[in-house]
Amino acid sequence: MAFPSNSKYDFQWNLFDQRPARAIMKREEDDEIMINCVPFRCTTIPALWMLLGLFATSCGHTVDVKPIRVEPIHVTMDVNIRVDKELDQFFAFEEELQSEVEEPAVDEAAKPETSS
Amino acid sequence: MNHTIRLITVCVGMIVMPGSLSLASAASLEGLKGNFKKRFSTVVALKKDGKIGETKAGALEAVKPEYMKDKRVRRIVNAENADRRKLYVLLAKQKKTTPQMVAQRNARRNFSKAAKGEYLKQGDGNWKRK
Repeated sequence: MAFPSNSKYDFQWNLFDQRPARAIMKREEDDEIMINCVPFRCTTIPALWMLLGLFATSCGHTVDVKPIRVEPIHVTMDVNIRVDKELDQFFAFEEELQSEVEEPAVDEAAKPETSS
Repeated sequence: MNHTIRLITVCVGMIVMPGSLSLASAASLEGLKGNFKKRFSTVVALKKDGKIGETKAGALEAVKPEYMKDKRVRRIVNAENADRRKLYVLLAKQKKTTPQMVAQRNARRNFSKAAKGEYLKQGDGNWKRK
């Protein structure tokens, strides 16, 4: 049921009810007459409350502080080191052979030039 | 009775198998090492001549495609790379990683150990002399 939308009526809203608490009709002679409110479904105020509630909950930030995990880095480093070590061990013969290959060249370079 | 014997055989197999596998891989590693040793002086000589170089993939490659026409270069490069692939697979199994990762580590090692004047293939595919 629609409430008369007249400027003569002044509403005092009760925020917790779904209808105006009372309506006061103003008369020209400044008499105030209470009018029994007709059950008036006002959805604006509850909707505002709900929006406010939604806004409040949606703005809440949850910050989860998880423990810092550095395991994968450690594992990768560990594997790299182990592989490098294994490769160094496997190719250890290269240094011995390298010195054998280089020795003749060094000897030739060290030889004094003999010009006839 | 048969069931018990079969069970015992399986159990013994499970105990012996890893050991025999590691022995087999050790034997093949030694075999590979022998191959690398045999080729080493030739590889070094070809690297000094600027005919072959190391790549980021842990393999040998001819610096210019025409060098692969040389029978000696082709034979050495192919044999070396085949053995390197086997080595990478064996080491990856041992260290519980991938052959690609072992190859990358070896490439890194070869780059750092390369002598002055040797060719090294960069990530962009260009050869750079050390």
